[in-house]
Order: sequence, then C-alpha cells, then structure tokens
Amino acid sequence: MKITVLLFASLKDIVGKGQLEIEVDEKCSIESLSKKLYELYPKVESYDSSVRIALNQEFIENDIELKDGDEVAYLPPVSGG
Amino acid sequence: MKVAITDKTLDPTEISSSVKNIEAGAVLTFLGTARKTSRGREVTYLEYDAYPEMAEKKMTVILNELKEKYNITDGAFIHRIGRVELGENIVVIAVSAPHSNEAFDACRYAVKRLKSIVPIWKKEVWADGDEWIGYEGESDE
Repeated sequence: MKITVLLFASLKDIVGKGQLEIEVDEKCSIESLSKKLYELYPKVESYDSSVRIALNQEFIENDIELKDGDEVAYLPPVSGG
Repeated sequence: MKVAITDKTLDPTEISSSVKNIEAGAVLTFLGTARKTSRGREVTYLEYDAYPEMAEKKMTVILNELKEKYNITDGAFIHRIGRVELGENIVVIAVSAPHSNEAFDACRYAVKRLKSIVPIWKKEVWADGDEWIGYEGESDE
C-alpha cells in the first residue's frame, strides 16, 4: 500500500523534497515505515530521537498499524513565532 | 475566530480590528517580529516552513483553549511563512476579552502554545550559513 511521507525543515533539506510516496506491506507499522525511510535516507535517522510523528495531521506517540493512503509527517522540534 | 498561514505580509491593525466586539472591553495584539541578533550571530533574514493544514488545526485548538481557559470573546491567529526580512511581522495573535487580565493571560498562553504544538519551523540565515532552529519554548512544557 502507498503511504505519503511528509518532511519539513532540516529533514526536507536532507532529502531534497518535502513529500515522498513509500510503498509498504499491508499491516505496516509506523516503526517499519521509519525503518524504510532511514534505509532510503540514512541521514534522517540521526534525527529520530527528536522528531515527532503526525499521522493524518495528529501527533501520534504510540506505534500504530498504517492504512492505505495514510499521511505520515516527520516533524522536527517546532520553532514558530 | 480566525486562523491562517500565509505568505503575504501581515497587517496587525486589520487583524486587531477584526476581533473587536461590544462584549469585550479589552483587545490585545501580540506581534512576533524578525530580530537581528540571535545566539550571538547577526541574522540576515528568516525563513519559515510549515505543515499548513496541521498548523491551522493546531492554531484553532489554541484559540479554543483560550476560549475555555480565559473566556476570550474572539481571537485571530495569523502566521507568515516563506522569507521574512528583519523587522517584519512573523506572527500576529489578537484576542478580545471582557477584561484586560484575561486578554493578557490569553495572549501569553497562546505564544507559549505556538512554540510548543504548532508545526512551523524557523530558519535563521546569516552571512556565512543558515540553521533550522529547534525548540525555543519554556522548559516546563
């Protein structure tokens, strides 16, 4: 199934774009998605401990099973204002 | 209540006026502006990135929190993205409330929440480099 991955700020600079489509297996968890992302872009992994993840525009703290068409955003620590 | 992420310059007078209400005796407007010196470096300009749909959702959440906690009558929360020159407005938060105490407290709280839950990021650009800035809120968050 296809998952839309969104990246911002420093992560967007590392990868070179703010949106990716990643193909994953059914019953893929966010953790597995992250693993796949880090395989494709190893430098992104160094941000793992400071990044917050949003699933369909809501912060998510626990690992969860993804569904086709989900939008997963990797958010560095925010600095608005 | 109004929230927006925009790449246009912000007009604080217009935003301030928009929250005026005959139920409110106080209007408070906070302007976040682009500052020249940061962390001992001289900033040339700032650049803001955002997850716009989620940012507007969180800004709405914050205004609803202000309503519940501080009884604001109306609120407007507008944040700029893209390149911002020194001295320009980055964010405008305007609230109206029956009394001034609530308005002051609401504004302060909104700024704190902005720096905690809204997916917007600041990049400082100086003469010989740039850096995406991390969390700048208070430690009790």
